[in-house]
Amino acid sequence: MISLQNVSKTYSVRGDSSVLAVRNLTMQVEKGEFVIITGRSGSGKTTLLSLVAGLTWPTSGQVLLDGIEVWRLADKEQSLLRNKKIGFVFQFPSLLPTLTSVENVLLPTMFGDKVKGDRSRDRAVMLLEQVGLNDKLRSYPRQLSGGQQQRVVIARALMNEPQLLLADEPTSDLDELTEHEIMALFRNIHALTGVTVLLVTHSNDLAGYGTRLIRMAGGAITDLDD
Amino acid sequence: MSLLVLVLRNISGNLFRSGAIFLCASLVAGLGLSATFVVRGAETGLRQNLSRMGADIIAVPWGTMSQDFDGAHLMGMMTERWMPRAYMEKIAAVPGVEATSPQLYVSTWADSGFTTRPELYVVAYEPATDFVLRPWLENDPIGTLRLGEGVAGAAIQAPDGGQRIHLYGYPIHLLRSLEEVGGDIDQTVFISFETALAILEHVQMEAQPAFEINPHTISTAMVKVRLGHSPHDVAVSILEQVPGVLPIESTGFFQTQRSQMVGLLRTVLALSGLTWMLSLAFMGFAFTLAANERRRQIGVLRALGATRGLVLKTLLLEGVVLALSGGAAGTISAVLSAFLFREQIARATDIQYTLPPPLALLGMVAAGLVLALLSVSAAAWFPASRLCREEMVVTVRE
Ligand SMILES: Nc1ncnc2c1ncn2[C@@H]1O[C@H](COP(=O)(O)OP(=O)(O)OP(=O)(O)O)[C@@H](O)[C@H]1O
Ligand SMILES: [Mg+2]
Repeated sequence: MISLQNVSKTYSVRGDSSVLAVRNLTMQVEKGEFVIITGRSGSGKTTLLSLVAGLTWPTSGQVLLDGIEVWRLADKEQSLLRNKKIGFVFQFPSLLPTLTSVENVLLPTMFGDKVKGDRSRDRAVMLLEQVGLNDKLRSYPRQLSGGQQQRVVIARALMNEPQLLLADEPTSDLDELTEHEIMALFRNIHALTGVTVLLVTHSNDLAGYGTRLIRMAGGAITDLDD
Repeated sequence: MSLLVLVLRNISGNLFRSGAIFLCASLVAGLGLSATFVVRGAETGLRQNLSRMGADIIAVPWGTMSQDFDGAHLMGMMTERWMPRAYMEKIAAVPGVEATSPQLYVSTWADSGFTTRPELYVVAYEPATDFVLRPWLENDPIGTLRLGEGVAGAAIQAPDGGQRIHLYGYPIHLLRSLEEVGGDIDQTVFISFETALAILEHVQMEAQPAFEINPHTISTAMVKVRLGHSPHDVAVSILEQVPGVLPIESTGFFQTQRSQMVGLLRTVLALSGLTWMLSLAFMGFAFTLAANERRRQIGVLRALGATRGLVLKTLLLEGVVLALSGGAAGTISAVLSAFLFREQIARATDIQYTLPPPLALLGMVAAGLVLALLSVSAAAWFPASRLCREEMVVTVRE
């Protein structure tokens, strides 16, 4: 499903310095895999996810998603593809503060041509129930705990029935107990829907939730424990 | 959920910034409209005041005894000098001259009995080109004067409360009385040149004519100077370009008032222009802040599948909603304040602060809204479009 061939990504920072965030990276991810990516801060994990989603483009090499170089598509097709195929869980709080839980979950339906209207609302409510937030449908993000917010984000990521779930440190702000709850949720979702999952974390303890572990260091895949 | 909901939530989500932009939009629209009202009112007032002040310059035959002129040039001099009517065209051709109208002093009549004042003056004027007397007949303008018709100064009374008087035996039907002006004009009977000719002929038939003048001459050319030209310069030009004519400027009083008005108008325009520019700068700043603040949110929307165009649309729509609502508020308060405080404003500024007729008002309101809309859109466009072009990973990062 995902194929990276000798991919490098260099960010040019203001001035003339540049940061090599991903270094000559090659990897394949098959449909239905649950890949956990670990690595220290700055090792290029977020950049890798951005490359897979076509949100950023490689300086060299080739990134394919179902055989397509997403970042080369026109903005409209790129957006539609992301909207239909990819669910995102971000590293930072990403709920719109002015929208309720249900409205946040409904957000992806605004941009695509998938389910709409009452049926989409029913699905949003169903998803929120699935992540255990039956009683928080009309709550605003500020009324939710960090773990609850992350659950809403996960429900939102699932709204358009994606084939790929990209989760960037979904548990970084949570206590250990909640962390495991959320990871269990991902595992259930994966088991239930068969969605391909790429999940970034810097906690090695969570490796067991996935079907495969990839370690990153200095922008490259490494087999060494650091 | 629609785009508009998202936009409205964004607006209500940051009430302070939204309020500030709303205020700017209302300021732009409201001040623009108020300035238009002021300029319009001042223009009307200025026009009326100036027109009631008579001529800026009166041009008399060379050699006329210079008399002291205080106040308005409402009528020519009562002197026994005349000049050819053809001078009118030469004067009209002088740059800066907006209008000219001839007057002919016919005679002075002592103890006429039609006025309590010692003298009555008879003056011929040309109703078609006249701009001096017309403002004093404003409420009841006359088109032309027919043979034997006249207009009387305020101090002139026809006998027995009627409208007929006799000038040197010639019957004159007094169509109308002028408003009281104060000065010679109140004791003057104004007639057309045609009637003056008839009176002259009538007088010549008598054994001892009371007076004698060439009816094809004039005694004064009343001159109106174009707004923006200095009456003094125009007077000098007349002196140079029309030999045989002595231009006499109106006293400074009216010029002072006029330049005060012009100064006030300039101030109003400059102030509203300044406010507009400041608002624009402020709104641009506010939108840049908003865009930066929402950098992440925009990254999220893009990752969830919003196209660049859609993100731009939400940002601009936010501006449009604020512009239209703020613009409407500003417009309404401008119209309301013009309506409620027109008298106070008029008294304080000497400007007739009146609402224009409905259709013109509608046009101005629309223009005010469009101005607010354009301003806000311009302010929102730049930061929004710049943000939408950024590489996404940048926007997703802190
Ligand atoms: N937009 C950017 N501009 C410049 N440099 C960047 C940008 N994004 C990332 N980098 C740099 O690239 C390198 C990899 O960053 P990345 O965010 O991919 O790491 P990460 O593994 O996700 O780290 P973390 O665990 O802290 O999230 C870092 O050195 C980072 O400073
Ligand atoms: Mg990261």
